[in-house]
Amino acid sequence: MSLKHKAIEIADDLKREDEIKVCCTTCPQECVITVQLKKGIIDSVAGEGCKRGKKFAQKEMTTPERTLTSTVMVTCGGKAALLPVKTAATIPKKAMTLAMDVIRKTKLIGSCQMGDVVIANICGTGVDVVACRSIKEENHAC
Amino acid sequence: MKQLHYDVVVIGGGPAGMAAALKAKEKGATVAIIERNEELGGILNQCIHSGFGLSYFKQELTGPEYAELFINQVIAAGIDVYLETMVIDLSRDRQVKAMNQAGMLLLCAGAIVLAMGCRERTRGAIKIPGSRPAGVLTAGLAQRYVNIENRKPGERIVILGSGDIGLIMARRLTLEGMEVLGVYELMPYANGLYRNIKNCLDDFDIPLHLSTTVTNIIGHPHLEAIEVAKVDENFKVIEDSREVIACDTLLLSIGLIPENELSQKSGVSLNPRTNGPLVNEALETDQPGIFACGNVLHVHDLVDNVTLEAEAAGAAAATYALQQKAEAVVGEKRLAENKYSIPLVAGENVGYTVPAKLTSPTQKAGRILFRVRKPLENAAVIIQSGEKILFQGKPRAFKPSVMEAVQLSPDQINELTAMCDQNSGGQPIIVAVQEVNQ
Repeated sequence: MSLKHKAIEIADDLKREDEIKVCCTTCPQECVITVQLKKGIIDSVAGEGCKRGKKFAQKEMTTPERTLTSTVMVTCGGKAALLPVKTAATIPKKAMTLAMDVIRKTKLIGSCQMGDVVIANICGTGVDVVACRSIKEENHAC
Repeated sequence: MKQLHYDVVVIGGGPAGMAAALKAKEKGATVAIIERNEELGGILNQCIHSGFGLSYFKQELTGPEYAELFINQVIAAGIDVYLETMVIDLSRDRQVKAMNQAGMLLLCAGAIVLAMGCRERTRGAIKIPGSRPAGVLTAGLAQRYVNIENRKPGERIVILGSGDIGLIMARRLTLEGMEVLGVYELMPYANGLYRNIKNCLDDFDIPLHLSTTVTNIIGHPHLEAIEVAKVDENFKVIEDSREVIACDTLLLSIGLIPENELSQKSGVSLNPRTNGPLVNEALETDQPGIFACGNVLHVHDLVDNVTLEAEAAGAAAATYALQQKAEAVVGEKRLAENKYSIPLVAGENVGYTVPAKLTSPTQKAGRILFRVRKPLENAAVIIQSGEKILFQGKPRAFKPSVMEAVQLSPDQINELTAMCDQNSGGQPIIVAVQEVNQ
């Protein structure tokens, strides 16, 4: 499908390429999507199994995004444990290192529920970091 | 000894055990889960990365989230959960001997579901030469250290094997500030899922060295360096490619083995290829009333597939137990039905099949799971019994990291029963993936 009229600005390091193969990680199908470039502009996208794949391939060419997961120290009921956390949506790949610095410095006290916001709007991405499990006073996490 | 009675006893409280227990409960059985850890969830609790639930929940979840959604259901369903309880014996007549802080327990079950999962292959399994220093550990153990116990395994990390856990750990350790020097894989292709190669290695510029392996471990008492070397197509080391790499940690991601020591105590026969029990289409082992699912049966690619398999095993176990109980009340014995067992055989390019046999006649479709032995660029699944072709797939690419599934209809299976009658003893069904010339 032609995208010439859209002229999406692609990432600098990819501009010299003519053809880029992107493995879609949206679902377990793992479609290999071929993106044709002409003079640093996306010319065509082929091989995607669904609409999400096409969107994913375009994103990969411009501002690739990932879900970031890590852990945060939590003290609950006199015990220390690691609380698994994730970004509630994907964040730009470039922001991952900065986000990790913030996550590493974060410490929590008390119980929490799965889905609770641990860090709001991390690194100005507009995305919250949320708890991936509940931690109760009586049963500790590890 | 305290004695308890349940229709279904599930051994293991990971994703397989929880899904099996929920399904058995839903079918009206009384159910217990026995878990050696202090909480349910199994290995999901340390798999903090996302990518779970894409097919089962239609959303991308982390391991702990996937686990918690099931734990909540298990609690709500009123299933008896024995935590910090170790099963030490399982008998042919479905008596489970277990132990916890309160003492010994004897659980008498109408049916058993084996859901103990698998464990990692260690250095001993591939016999790496060299010294035996600290700093050589499996990728899953490193995952536990970093994600649960808040310990740092080292500073300069090398990973042997391109299994998914190794790839996931390459990213995790990099994000936590450790230096991952590279991933080395003996085979000419990566073993992990492609999504993990991309998101865990490519994103962080971590090199993947194919057809390369670790040939020596150097240092004592702590790891100081490893020697790596390229191998030829016969896996023979290419001498002049030897190279020493300074590092303080070697992670091993070299495969998983179903954990079946307990199963064997009950007399369950194993498939030597997978080290998992030989089961029929109902996921019943060769010991009546003992079922198996999840990674104890065969190592899965995705937890979503574990859940589906476990639900089938849980349903079958409940049906078996409730039927036995009903017959005991009426005082009838189950009639020896006129059933045949048709063996399934792994043919060309196929490593193994689950189930290992189909029962005929049947009213249920037979779902056959298998993996290819090596990557195939253009090939097609072909399932046949003698000359008769039961299924032929469209040509496409196959990867050993992905589990394949094909369904045979009851009619197709029952047609083979006719052949059984004539030949007394059915012809095996051969599952093959044949390369197609383009």
